[in-house]
Amino acid sequence: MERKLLKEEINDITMPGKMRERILKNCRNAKLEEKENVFMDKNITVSAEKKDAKNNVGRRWTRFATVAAAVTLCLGLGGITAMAASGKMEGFFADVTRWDGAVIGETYEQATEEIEVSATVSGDSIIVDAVLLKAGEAPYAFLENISVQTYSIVNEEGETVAEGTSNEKAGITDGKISLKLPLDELEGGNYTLIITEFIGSAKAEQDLPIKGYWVCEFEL
Amino acid sequence: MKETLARPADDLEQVMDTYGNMLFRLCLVMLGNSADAEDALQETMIKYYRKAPAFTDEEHRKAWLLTVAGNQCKDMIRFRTKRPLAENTDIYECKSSEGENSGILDALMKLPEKFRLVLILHYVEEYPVKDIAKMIGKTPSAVKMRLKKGRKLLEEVYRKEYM
Repeated sequence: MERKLLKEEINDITMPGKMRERILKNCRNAKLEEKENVFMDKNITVSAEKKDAKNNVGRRWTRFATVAAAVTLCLGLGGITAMAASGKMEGFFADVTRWDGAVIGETYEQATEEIEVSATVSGDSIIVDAVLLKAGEAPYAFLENISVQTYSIVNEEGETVAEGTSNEKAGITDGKISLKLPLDELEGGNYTLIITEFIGSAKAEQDLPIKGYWVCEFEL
Repeated sequence: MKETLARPADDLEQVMDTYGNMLFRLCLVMLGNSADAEDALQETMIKYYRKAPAFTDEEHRKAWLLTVAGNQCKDMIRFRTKRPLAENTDIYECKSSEGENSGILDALMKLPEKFRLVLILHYVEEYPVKDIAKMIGKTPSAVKMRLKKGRKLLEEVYRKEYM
């Protein structure tokens, strides 16, 4: 009896018609939304892939630019290093600029390795014999005369006992020059002559300072 | 080899016509009010078109729908224990005949939900114990125990309050 009663009572319950329509409508909407979401997801995936592709192109260019910059930097640094290294070994021309920035000439830098210098004492003078090791090359090839521009004499204690410039020019013969430097009131002993600059000249040409560091010893 | 029913994506109306009332009753008895029952039924239908497997026959479809609806109700009851919802007031508003209130529905609503479910499945939908066990994921003996206790409780409540 109870069993029958329960079934009858429950089966008497029916879903309201409006509720049925509401549920169906909501289900249809959910279905539609799902389709739209799938479509949007696909679009998003496609656009993300496109974006990724663009980013990859951008990344590739960035990587290329980085590599190019690194290579440029390396070459630049290499060049500078090479220049500095070669400057130590060989000379190079540098512009001489006036106070207002105008270029008024040029100097030949770092000629230490290109000129061999020796010094001997002769009477009241020091004879400086210089040999141009690259006499056939610029700038020596077009020079006619050379003079010592800046020199100093240092004693055994390391004190500078004389320094100055010499106006005496000597002609270049077979790449060799012999110059005289005055030797004033020096006591006997071992000295060191240090020349830091020669001046090269030629007719109708601007004088060319030739810089370097030459050391020769002599005895009085 | 069993012939499988096609899984129609657009047969919601047909399913609602065939099983709508059955599922609504279950949800209403489990949840106690028509608003929640509507939500549970709607979720069941959405799950139906999204996740329903290929059914072997109509019985398979019916059992699947009842299982999903029952689980949906359990989830909602679990949620309700954290957030109390409306009282069970409108169950009689959904009855088609306006006969005398026997009180059996009220007594049923006072039982714990685990007894309500097996009682409905067994006494209303007339499923055997073995099938109910499959549907709710319990052993047949556990279902038998629930039926036994449910009957006893229902009788106690009914006798106490309506006789």
